[in-house]
Amino acid sequence: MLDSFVISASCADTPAPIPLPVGAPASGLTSSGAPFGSFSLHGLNHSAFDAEAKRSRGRFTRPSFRLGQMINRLLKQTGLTPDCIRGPRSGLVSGSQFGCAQVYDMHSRLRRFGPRGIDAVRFAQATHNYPISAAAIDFGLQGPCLAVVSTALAGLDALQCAFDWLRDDRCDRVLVAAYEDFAPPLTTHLAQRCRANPTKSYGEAMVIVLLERPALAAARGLENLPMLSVSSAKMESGPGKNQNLGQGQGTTLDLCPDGIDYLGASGLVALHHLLNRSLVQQRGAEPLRLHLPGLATTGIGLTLTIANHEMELS
Amino acid sequence: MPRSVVITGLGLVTRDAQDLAAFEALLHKGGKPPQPPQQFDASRFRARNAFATPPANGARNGPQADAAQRDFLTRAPSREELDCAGHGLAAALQAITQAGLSPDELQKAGCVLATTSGGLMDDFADLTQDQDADVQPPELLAPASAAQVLYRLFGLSGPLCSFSCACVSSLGAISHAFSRVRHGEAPVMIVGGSDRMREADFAGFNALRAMDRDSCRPFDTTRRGMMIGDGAAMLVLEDEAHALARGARPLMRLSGMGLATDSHHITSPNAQGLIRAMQQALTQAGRRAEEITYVNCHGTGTALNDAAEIEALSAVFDAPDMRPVIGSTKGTTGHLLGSAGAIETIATVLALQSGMAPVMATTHNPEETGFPLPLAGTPQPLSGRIAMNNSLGFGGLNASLILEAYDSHDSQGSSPCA
Repeated sequence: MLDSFVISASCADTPAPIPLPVGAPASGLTSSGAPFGSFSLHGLNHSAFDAEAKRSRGRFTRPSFRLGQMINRLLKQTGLTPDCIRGPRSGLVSGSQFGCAQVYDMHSRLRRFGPRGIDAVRFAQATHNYPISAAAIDFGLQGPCLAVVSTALAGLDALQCAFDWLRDDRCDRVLVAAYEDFAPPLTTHLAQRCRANPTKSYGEAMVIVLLERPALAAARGLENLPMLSVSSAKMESGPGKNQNLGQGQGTTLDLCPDGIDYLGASGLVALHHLLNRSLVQQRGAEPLRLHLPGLATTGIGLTLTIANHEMELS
Repeated sequence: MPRSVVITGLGLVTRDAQDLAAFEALLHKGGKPPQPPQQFDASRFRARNAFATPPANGARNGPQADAAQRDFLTRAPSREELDCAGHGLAAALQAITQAGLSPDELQKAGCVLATTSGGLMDDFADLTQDQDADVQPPELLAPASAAQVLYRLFGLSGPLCSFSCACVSSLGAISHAFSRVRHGEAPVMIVGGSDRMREADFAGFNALRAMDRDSCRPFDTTRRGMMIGDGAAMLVLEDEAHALARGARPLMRLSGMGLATDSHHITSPNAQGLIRAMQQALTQAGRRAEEITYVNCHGTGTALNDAAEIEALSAVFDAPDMRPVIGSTKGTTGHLLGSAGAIETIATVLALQSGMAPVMATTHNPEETGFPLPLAGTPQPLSGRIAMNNSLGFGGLNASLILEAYDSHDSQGSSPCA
């Protein structure tokens, strides 16, 4: 029998449809007269973090602050308390293409201020795993925690890690997060991309889903939840023979309904849309695939089943 | 039914060793003293030494790959690709060559790479300070760029992923690759870590006062901290049946992995997470603690790390008369950060193969650990065939891995997965 686990909740923060001001990219898009011309980057609302940062004297980074808030929202949505996820049977994994901006900020500060510009506390936060580590400490999670920094598939790679951990009985539930956080010099890089292709638009995002054993969700009265299992297409084709699952039969869903590229968070943003907008039911019985066009060459080998509809995550 | 996973190839680049033979010799005699890195002016910092590869190393290794190795590459790497992934490319070529994979067999493989900060974003930031210029190939800026470079240059078609989780990055990557092979999703995975010396990391560990000025002395009463290094270490993980079917000779069996978190403190480790990681690895391997003959510890030479690690080891290996030899190779190689777990996995493989624990040549005043230590002048032969490798990382991350000397009688007898 194939292992199957349920997605019992998902939360997403995506940006308001207001482009960031055009500006000098190296200074964080704060001034006008941009050398790159107009381009469109979409930012999340960070006002809550900005207010908290003054109070907590830099204990958080932007992604770590938002992740903590979103975990609380996710728990409420799925009927769990923080005590329920405390301990070694809960894990946490993140996926991002560019990871934490603070990693790059260390280099910039060193260039500007020399060794005295490097603060020990801020350096300790300058790892791509800081958001998950800070959340693990705050919520008492003691299961596996890892940070994926891969491609546009980063969020789905993180989902696959979570699946592995449950399948190998390392834990019973995993919080799976995907995010992108824009700050210099990443904003400069994205501005250059937009200049090269004016139709492109990039957005910050953070998404979190809860993957857990079906019995745990059922014990809270949650049934008929979206289910993740090993892809039957992968099982039939065999490993190393045909992993181009995105090229099979059926219809590919549009992963960017709002036209914004969320980079490493794209996969989980799309998954969140699927879970919350009844897209599957609208499509009838036709096979569906969640596919990142032009980016993914290999599938992650998992099938999502929502209301008796199966789709490949590729 | 999970498949059996074996290691069929190893490769590495460190400051003092660019191949397995040189590395094995280094492990048995100890390394040269650390020196100021040439990549930047280290005189501005409190601690000024490191195990840094020469700046040209990454670029030098790629183009000089011998003719047989070039057969594995779809094209010659660019200068920028070598800047980004040169160490990893050189180490991977060694591992693939040792594994005896044909170019066709290699194409079925996937790749998982670990990095500390990865990509060329620092270079990009420097060059875009005051000008509007397209200064780097945009595909080389993200942390996963090195993994993508390897994937493209080798023409791979299997799974691709990259991890950056401080000092457990490599073992995180190995755990992911292990799962891909173990669950029959890929017959071969190229996995490991690759990093180059980064001034911001050097500055950061200085700011934390975590770096020793002179040498790294794990489990030594006079220790003052770590000593960072750079380089790469790569392994070929393979489905055992696949390896045997193509006539390869497995070097070692990878039988279990553990992953757990302290949820205690960002920079101060706690023993409980490592205890759980080790127990998880033993359980997955189906082994008991007393079967372990050697533990390659994280052993950074910081007081906090060493204390937490000894506490955890004492809890898991609780029979005082059946304790494994423990050691750290960071006094010899430096702390390779994102690549540490991979280089130490290779050191552990070599220890089991040679039956001798790598010497801790810089530890002259050992603290009382309750475990036998392989000190200079007191070599520690290994009587068993199973070893463990541990990594701890910022944020309370812990990982543990179990290696077993290869014995064909342990085979599961399954058919090749591809």
